[in-house]
Amino acid sequence: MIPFSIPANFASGIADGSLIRFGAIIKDAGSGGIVAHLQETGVSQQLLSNTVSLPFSPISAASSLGANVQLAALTNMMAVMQMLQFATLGATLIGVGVSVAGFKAMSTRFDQVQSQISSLSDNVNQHFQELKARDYRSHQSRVKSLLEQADLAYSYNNSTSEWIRISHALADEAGFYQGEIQYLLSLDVFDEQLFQTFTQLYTICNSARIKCLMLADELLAARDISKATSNQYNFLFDPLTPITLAKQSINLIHKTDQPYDHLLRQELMNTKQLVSSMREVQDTAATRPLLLDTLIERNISGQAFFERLESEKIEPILCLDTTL
Amino acid sequence: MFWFKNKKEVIDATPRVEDKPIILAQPNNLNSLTLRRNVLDWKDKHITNIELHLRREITSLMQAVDYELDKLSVIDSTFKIRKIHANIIQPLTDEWTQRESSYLLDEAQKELLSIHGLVLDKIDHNLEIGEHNSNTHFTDAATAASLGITGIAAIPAFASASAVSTSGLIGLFGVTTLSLPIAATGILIIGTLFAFSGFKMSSIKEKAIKRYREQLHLSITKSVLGDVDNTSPSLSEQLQIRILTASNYIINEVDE
Repeated sequence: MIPFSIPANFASGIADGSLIRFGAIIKDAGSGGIVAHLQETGVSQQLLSNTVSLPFSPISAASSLGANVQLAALTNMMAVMQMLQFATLGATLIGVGVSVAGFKAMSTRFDQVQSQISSLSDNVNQHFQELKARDYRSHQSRVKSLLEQADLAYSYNNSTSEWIRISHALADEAGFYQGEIQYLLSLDVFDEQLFQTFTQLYTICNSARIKCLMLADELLAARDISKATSNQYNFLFDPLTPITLAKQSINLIHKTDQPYDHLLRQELMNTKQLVSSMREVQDTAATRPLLLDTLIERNISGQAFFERLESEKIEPILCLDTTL
Repeated sequence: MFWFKNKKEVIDATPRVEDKPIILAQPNNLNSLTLRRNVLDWKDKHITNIELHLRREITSLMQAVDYELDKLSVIDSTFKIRKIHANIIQPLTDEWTQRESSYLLDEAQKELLSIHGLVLDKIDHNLEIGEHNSNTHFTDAATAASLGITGIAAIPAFASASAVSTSGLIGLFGVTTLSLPIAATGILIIGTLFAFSGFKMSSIKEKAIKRYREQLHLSITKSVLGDVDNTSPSLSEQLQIRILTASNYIINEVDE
């Protein structure tokens, strides 16, 4: 039996400041010790699966998603996240706790995000653009294939070795997208849409890697990879600052009939939101190894953990209570 | 460089990050993760604040510079630009730079102290505003001066011409008077030239100051906020680097 409780149990402590949410954990304000690990469930994944740009949005933006999603359930989820004092939905980009998204869902999301790359910056010449697009399609096919293989591995007699193999292959793909993000951030101009796209593709690969290792019950390896990815996120996203990105975004804007200061303030609104989301991603990634430590300490298998979370029908977020 | 202010006192009073080896994935290191996030937020906030503050406050420096330029005489704006630049403009920008830099770094420092008890080193606040580096104001000044000289030189020239004419008429009329029509014409022309020259003097002075003002504004903007061609870091960049250095320093310690 996995000692899950619901976030509402911690609401009063968070409200009075005796408990603090950081990343995907709730800690005691006095001792600094972990009280609970936040963990998304299958409910949250269903709610967020059709919303590609949501991780970069403020919590309040979720209500504007319209009838395409289960609005009441989504509103409930946002209320939980607000109670937990999440400022943005950045954490959902990599999964609160570990990602419980199914491999099929990851593949669908990957397609949705990848399709955004077609709008490459128009200052890239046509030939180069075609080459890049072909390269991106090649990686897209590879990741899609790996995610399909991961989903298929459930029916293998010996799934473990297959999941480990896929995890290694996904590491290569994650490396490709990491390189693209690094390159993108090294330019004098900042293409926010492209950045968001590559970041999502990159984090999907990493989430799938870790899930594969957890399903293979390689929790120590999953923890170490979680640490490594957390360090990579820090390496990539630490240098981001809203003002620098805003200035670089303006460099991308050809229409300059508006005063620079006005453009700067306009862009700053977007980039502040973006950086805030990325900080949430970093915090959540930094606390993921702590969750894996707890699973290891309590002898909770990766498969049992995911089965419980995927079977949850009501709560979008559960708390793995370390005090129970 | 970044350093601990009153190092001994800080060591005695506040637990330093470097005293605690950081091992991720252990609950007791949560404080380090929180510190890391706080420092990143601090960096984001103050790097942004520096840019926005300087963009806002640079107008006060421009106004102060304009006020001084408006007081310049023709002579000042023509012959004493270098002196005025050194004695009035540069001290004005130095004082402004010092004041704004101190304010911004003090604000950042106060907040950082509340996060971890660390302080920023003092920055070299001096900002060299590029002196009027174009020769166009000298062209303006030379034009104004030469027009003025033409006006003054015309007086004896026309008086002489009038006198010659008059002397030619002395024998004719036997009088030692100026030929009134010639003298009148000369006075009219001289008067016109004087009026023209006076107008041009004022116009060219304005033009010279306007150009100087524009170049000064441009130079100040580049020095304070920077531009793509800047070879040396602007004030904004220098202050932002201070924040970035401090942030990197702490984060490196947290990550070790």
